[in-house]
Amino acid sequence: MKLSKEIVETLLVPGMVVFVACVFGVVGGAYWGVIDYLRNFGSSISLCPYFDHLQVAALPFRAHTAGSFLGAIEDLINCYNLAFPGATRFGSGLGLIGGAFWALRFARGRGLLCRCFAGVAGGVLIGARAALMLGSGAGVFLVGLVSGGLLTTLYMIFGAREEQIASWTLLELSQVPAAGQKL
Amino acid sequence: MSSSNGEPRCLRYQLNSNDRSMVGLALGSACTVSTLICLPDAVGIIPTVPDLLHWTVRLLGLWLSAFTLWSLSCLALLHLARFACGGIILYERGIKLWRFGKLIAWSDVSAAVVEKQPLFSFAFGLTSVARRLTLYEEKVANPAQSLGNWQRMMAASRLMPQSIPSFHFAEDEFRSLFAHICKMSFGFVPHSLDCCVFSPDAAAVLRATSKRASLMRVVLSLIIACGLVTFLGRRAAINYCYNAGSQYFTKMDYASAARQYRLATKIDPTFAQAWDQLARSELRQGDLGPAEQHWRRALQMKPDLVESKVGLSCLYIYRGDLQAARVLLAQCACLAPHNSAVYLTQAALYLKLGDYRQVHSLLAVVERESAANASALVAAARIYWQLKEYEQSYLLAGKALRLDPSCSDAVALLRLCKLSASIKRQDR
Repeated sequence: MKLSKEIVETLLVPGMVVFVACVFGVVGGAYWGVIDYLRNFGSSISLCPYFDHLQVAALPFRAHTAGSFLGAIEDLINCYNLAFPGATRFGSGLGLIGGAFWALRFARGRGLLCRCFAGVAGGVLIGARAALMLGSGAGVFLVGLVSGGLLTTLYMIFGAREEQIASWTLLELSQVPAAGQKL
Repeated sequence: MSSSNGEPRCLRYQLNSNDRSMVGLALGSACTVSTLICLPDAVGIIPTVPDLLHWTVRLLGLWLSAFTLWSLSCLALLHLARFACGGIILYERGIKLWRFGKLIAWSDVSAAVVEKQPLFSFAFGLTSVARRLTLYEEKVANPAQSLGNWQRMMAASRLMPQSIPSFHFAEDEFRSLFAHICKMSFGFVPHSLDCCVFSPDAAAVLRATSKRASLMRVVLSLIIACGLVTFLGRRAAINYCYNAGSQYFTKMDYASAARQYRLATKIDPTFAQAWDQLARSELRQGDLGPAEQHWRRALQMKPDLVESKVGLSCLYIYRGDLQAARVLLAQCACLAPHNSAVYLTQAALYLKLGDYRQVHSLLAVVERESAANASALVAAARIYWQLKEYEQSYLLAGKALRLDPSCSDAVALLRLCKLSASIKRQDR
């Protein structure tokens, strides 16, 4: 009974991390799209020159041959870029990263396997999307994906265990003398 | 620290930053910071808006973007700091303010002062008034050191202030922490949270240390305030001048545009985009020398500014220095592979070199990639006209006019194409 519960948890929690991150990504994209519309309301030119580079090229860019491994990653990046054009791309990135971090809370204090899988799922999303903020190359994406997955998994294994030191909230307030009471 | 039956339950306790408090701080500070950040933009966008409604909506967009970015990054930094520093750890012997901090023995705490920070709480929109708990740790001189009498006296009388802000923790936890510190260091718990607890012999030193600390806080606040006013005022002036220049540039009043851009570069000599636009305005007025000089200046400030490289290469093509233009455009093609201005300038270069095959392939790329960009289509149409391909030029100019009905260049080019085509027919 206990084993089956753990298996369900191990499958459910990483799935939930991915689902929540994706929902946050879509919502973040739409939110940033609205903000961009407000920011450029009634204007065809940028308000400030700093915002010019937020726009991405709408046409897919190909540096690797189609069908190769890096080419497939490039296809994935292009699909993402086409799904979230212009400013929505940045917003979806913020949402995806924020959502994945937030969703990792569900795995804290659970079993090792569950934390490990959740760390991989969340870390891959966080690392890959953070890498896309630095550059849109397939290599950068791959490095970000692997390092994000690795770091987050390590953190989830070693950093998100049950608290080793008792939390202050566990200390009963009644142990501290009432205000003004002399010992 | 013992359980209700009197047995020691745990040797140490950890007080971590509270999640809800961190969210409150991130949101509260985001309100203030985004308002401050938007002040220069509020002035800067005035030249670009036709009425109050546009100004308000755009400012709302800017404020929301600043608010979102600040709150998310502040929250991320707070979580990172919590992860790196750990919490406040309470031992039986003393207190550690962070994971790698030195243990402060309970007996070394000479004073514990809690002060309200109403201004800080108001500025950062905190729901309850924030407090700062300052622990004054007594620094005892090392007896092994050979110090003079007065040195030993000074060292012995030094109190080291260590601050613990309340806004990281839940109110109950902070209250409990203060009570625990007082209990362990002074043997009693005060009635109120807002008080100053100290041993009688530390009073004089505490007064001097406290005065020095408040003076330092006032000086630091003044420096921050002056820095903010200077920075925000400067930013507002730069944005205003740049946007006013852009408005004049769009209206083809290049002399006024150059004046505004010059002012922007005077206020901020590192503003590469303003140097670039200044050069562009000067080129439109026929001042080639200053334009070249200012494009070089823009590239000094930002070596990867594609617009300046394209402008400079146009100037080189005009002067006949085709090799220099080719080098610059090759760099641009690497920096911005989808920039239509780069393709168009390369086409103009190959036109000069007489390589018509290259010109056609570059123009085909522009037609494909910039199908929705009226000015790029007009520029491509102009090159077709130079190639004496009037039909193609007419077609592209018509397409540009459909995209932007107010494009006067497209209208002029359409007329020119009609005229040239009829002359060609007559010649035949």
